[in-house]
Amino acid sequence: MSARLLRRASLRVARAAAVLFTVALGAAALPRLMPGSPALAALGPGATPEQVAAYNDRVGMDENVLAALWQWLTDAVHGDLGRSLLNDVPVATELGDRIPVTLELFLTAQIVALAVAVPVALRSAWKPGGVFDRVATTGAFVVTAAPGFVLGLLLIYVAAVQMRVLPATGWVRFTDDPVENLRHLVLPALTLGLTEAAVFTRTLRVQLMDTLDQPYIAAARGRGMSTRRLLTRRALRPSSLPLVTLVGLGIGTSLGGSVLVETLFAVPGIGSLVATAIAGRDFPVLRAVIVVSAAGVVAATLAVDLLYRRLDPRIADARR
Amino acid sequence: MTPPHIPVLDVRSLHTHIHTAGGPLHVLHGVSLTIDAGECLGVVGESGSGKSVLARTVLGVHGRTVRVENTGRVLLHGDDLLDIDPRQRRRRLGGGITMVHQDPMTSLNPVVRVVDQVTESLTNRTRMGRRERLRVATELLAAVDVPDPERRARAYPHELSGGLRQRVGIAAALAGDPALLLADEPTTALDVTVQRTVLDLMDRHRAARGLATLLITHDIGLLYGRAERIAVMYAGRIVETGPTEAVTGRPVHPYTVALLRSVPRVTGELRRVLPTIPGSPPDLALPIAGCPFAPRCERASAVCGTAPPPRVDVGEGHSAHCHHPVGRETTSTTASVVVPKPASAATGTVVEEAAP
Ligand SMILES: Nc1ncnc2c1ncn2[C@@H]1O[C@H](COP(=O)(O)OP(=O)(O)OP(=O)(O)O)[C@@H](O)[C@H]1O
Ligand SMILES: [Mg+2]
Repeated sequence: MSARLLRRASLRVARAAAVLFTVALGAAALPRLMPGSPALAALGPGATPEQVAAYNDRVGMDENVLAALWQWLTDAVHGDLGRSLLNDVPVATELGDRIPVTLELFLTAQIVALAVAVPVALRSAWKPGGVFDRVATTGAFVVTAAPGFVLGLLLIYVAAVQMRVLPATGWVRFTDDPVENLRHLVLPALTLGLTEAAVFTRTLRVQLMDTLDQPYIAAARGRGMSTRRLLTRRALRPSSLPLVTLVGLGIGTSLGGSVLVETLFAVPGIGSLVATAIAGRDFPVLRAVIVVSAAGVVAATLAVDLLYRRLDPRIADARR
Repeated sequence: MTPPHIPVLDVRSLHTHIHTAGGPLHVLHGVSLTIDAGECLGVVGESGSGKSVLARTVLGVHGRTVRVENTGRVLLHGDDLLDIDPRQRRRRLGGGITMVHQDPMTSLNPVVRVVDQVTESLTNRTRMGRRERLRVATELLAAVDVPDPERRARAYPHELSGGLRQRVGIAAALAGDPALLLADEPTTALDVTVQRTVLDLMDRHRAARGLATLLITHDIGLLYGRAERIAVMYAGRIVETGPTEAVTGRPVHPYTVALLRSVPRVTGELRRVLPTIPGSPPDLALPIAGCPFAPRCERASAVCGTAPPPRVDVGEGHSAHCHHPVGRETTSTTASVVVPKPASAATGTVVEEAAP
């Protein structure tokens, strides 16, 4: 048994490594995939051949892709992710500054999304077609259909402009001032969270409707279980697998940042870094972000898989 | 004077309508029945005759999106369940009334440990610690002959066999020490070899606890020696009811006769071909003027299509609703076939020969 488990675990790690390697390869090839000469685009048409050669050396254009990748990987293992082409700051330092910001934002957003979606979906699914369900389903649809920034602008208008209770943009680090940090967190987290909540609600509602039609739910009701207990203690867990996937991916992909929300609220996270890096063709930064965010997704997928086994004992047994 | 006798369950002219997209469906048409403590009433009938709807209406739990309207009375120890508020009613679930479900594969929650499902009737009303739950569940599982009950209590349903799961279902039903047990085809989903032991188990607990039992089945043969009385359902009506020996030995309603004909007799020669009743039950959405069985009945006459059949009492609590009751031809206007049709004449299905 344990030998099998070990084999399965190593298989997993190997697969994760293969995924990351492929992504890193793609990221290394990025400058070559750009149309025209990235060097001339970055340095301007008046650049001297020496400047162009120096540039190509920095982005690893003049070597073979695999060699460039190998070089990058060995440096990365030693904590060196290169330097930004735009401001010469070490990429590792930049990421170290920004990852906590983005993670804080995304974790809060997931909590907001769950806090909204779970009760709404439970109530909707219990009486499908009822007034609450119709309002909730329509609301979720509107939020999903509207571009993300609309919600953000609306929140800024209400909370920052009209009521003047929260700052519209900017960021304060938690370590500098926890209260200000939270005040700056509210609007971007709500924007991200409510958008996610719409998707969460729809996913969970569909799954719950299926669960609630199962005979075991009727059986529990027949033993006198209250509706609230029935929903939270008996129906939620067997309905939660797709939601767990969504939350996992939500956190996993967060390392890529949300360009939209971070730009809108001037949050100094990965998303706004990516926005400037793309505009300035800052390949070392982009490359690092791509690999780090892929690692996040791989880790999240593993975590989701483990959680599945906790949530549904049949899965654990079937795959053992 | 002796105090009035109050049965555990007393259903009086129960009419149930289920709201569907195509309008209300009149599923139960004036069902009346009683069950005493320790007594087993067997309810038989073809698929769609309303047996499950009857059980769900007595329990008061339909599908969450199903809207029903009831008239009549459902008295549990004399209290009308149709007349009390939902919270009061829910308090009786698990304790007063419980149900054993048809399919033990789907009626247990796959992600909840057996211990927590078995003790549900109790934990819905009072808080119980983890150890207490495990102790109670182990006792209950032992009482329904689950081997190694403590380990099984900690297991998840998928780790148990079908027979064990149905025992878990019965244990869950017994947990709240109920007065009335509704068993809706509790063994249909089980292997033939397991069916008997599960039914015997239910009999044992019925006798020991004085449990009133409503045993639903479409197999009348299963009720011999188990049910004191039988109610035969057809198209939402109880068409014949009485003591088991009377109903099976001297059936009065042609539908009962037809039902009995489709049961393999263990004694006597085994028949390879079982007749099924020709035709199909009526569409409940259409109104029925006379007897619902008339279109399929070999004794039917013109009156059967126009007037509701009268109640015929044949003594010792045995009665039927029929214009032309079997065995009482002297009173009926048509003297038609008394002897059941030979098997070869009826449409038949081949069944495996059961070992005697
Ligand atoms: N939720 C529902 N919505 C609409 N019609 C229903 C519903 N439940 C039951 N019915 C109808 O009521 C009638 C009786 O159904 P019921 O399930 O009680 O039959 P049954 O005697 O239990 O049959 P079976 O032996 O197949 O279990 C059927 O015609 C069925 O179509
Ligand atoms: Mg049924």
